[in-house]
Amino acid sequence: MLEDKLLIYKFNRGDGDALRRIYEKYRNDLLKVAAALLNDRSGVEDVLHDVFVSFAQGVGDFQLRGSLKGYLSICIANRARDKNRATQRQRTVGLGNAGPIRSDISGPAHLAVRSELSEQLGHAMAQLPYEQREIIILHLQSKMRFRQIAKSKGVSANTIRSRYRYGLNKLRSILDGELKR
Amino acid sequence: MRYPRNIERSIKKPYLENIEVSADAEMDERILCDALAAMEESKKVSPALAGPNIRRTIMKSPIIKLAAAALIITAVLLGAKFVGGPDVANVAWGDVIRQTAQVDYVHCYYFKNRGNDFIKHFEAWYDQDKLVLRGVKASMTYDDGQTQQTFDEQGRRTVKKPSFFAGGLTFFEVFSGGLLSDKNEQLNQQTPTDVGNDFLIYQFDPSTDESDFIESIFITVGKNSLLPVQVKVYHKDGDYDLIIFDYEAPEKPPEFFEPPMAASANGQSEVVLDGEKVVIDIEGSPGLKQAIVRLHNKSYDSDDVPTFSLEVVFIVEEGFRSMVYPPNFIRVKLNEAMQCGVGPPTGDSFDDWPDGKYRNIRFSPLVKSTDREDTYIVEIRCWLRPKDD
Repeated sequence: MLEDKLLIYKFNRGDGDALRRIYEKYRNDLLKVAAALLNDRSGVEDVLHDVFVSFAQGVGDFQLRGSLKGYLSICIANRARDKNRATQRQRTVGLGNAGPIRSDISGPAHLAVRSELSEQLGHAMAQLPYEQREIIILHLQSKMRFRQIAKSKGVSANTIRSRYRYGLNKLRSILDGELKR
Repeated sequence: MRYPRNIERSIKKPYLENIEVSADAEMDERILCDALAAMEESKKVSPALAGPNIRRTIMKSPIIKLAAAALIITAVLLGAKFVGGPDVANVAWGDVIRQTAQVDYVHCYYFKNRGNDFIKHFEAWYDQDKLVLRGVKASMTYDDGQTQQTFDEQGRRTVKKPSFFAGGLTFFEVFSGGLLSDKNEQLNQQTPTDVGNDFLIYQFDPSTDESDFIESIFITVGKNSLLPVQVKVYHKDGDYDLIIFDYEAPEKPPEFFEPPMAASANGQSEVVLDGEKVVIDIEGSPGLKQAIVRLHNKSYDSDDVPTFSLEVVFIVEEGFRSMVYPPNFIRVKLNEAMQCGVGPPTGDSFDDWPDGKYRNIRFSPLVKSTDREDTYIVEIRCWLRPKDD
């Protein structure tokens, strides 16, 4: 945390090395968050790119509330939601405009999910409503507290807790159903 | 297949852990190039890069009222009679900062109060541009102004990287996260909130990026020396951090400044960049037999230091392979070392090796150059961390 404070301090004074260090420090975690939230994982680089370009534009008067990792994770989650919506819209265009379907594991960042259980969890996660999946990933991967997420979303902590609980219950029921089949 | 009883644990492991994300150097460059360009553009539009907005704290929280009361009572008990006055009341914070710039020797304790626990976080000595820091679990960090190295309680070097003070930072800048810096004019004009016979007390609001979790910061400064003797950071949840400075009687530890020699590597080999995987025999590390390494994706960081992607898989004495850590690569800089950890190839914990035995492999890789451009020496220091450590 001490390092983050110093990095933000230097970043706000236009230090490119500080921006580079922030990127290198959190890149892998953020890629994971993006990969877990995107319906089409070929978009992880785009999401990370947009978040960092936007973050860099805030130089000079960047104001952080809470942890830097949490802030960037929220940005990734917001971009991922927009990207999912855009992808959804593209998929519903007329057949005349339809392009080739891109592989989920193509692109500059190569992604794979191993093991039977994690595959099943991946399928189950994909069936959750985005707002539930988002809370689960932000809480478990980015280690954000419900209070932090609630503040960034402008809703109450109880709402976030409920979404989290509903999400876990739904995952349980999906997995239970799959395992019984 | 068994139903995962703890769904949260199953999401963390194996689902989230098994999402493998390999970013390559080209992607890094694309993103960083655009981000740095965006930053430069924004700087042109808004050249006046403002510092944190410091304003007088309005004490709303009962915790802060109590804390402030406690501080004043303590000061009275110490004999500090608050008198106030136009002369001492106008000592600006910038004067304190200027005074800290003259300091050659500092001894500092950092404590964390968490609930009922009062934890010593680290103790540090700084003398003539050299720093020794004694951290948790008896780890020791040595910084000679060029390089910092950290050794664990067994004397194993776990970290080697550029100095804390690279870029011209002072001791106080590093250990106050920029608060004790002369670069913020607004901060420099702040005057004491309390003035006693012996001490000046400055009270700061947290910067906006800290205000979510920090309530207020009190810095006690010696009235004659104008040097900080205590920094107390009150958190909103009632915890606080306490940093104590002293400047006299330099009772430096015997370790100052004699960093241990880094023990020989447990294994090393020449590795060709973007070449084949190389098997390194491990010696002197019970339980570990070999490490298989591959070095690729050379790029340069902002200081033009070569940086590589390093793949490492360990083979334990019983022949089992570890997972590749972290997902597919470690970004390592030339001549810099960091501590990494790795477990079994699948499963939830370090117990999930095929024979059910606990194995938590810790290692510290170091890449060194040779006289051939495409060939490097990869050193591996490694050990098995006991379960109860």
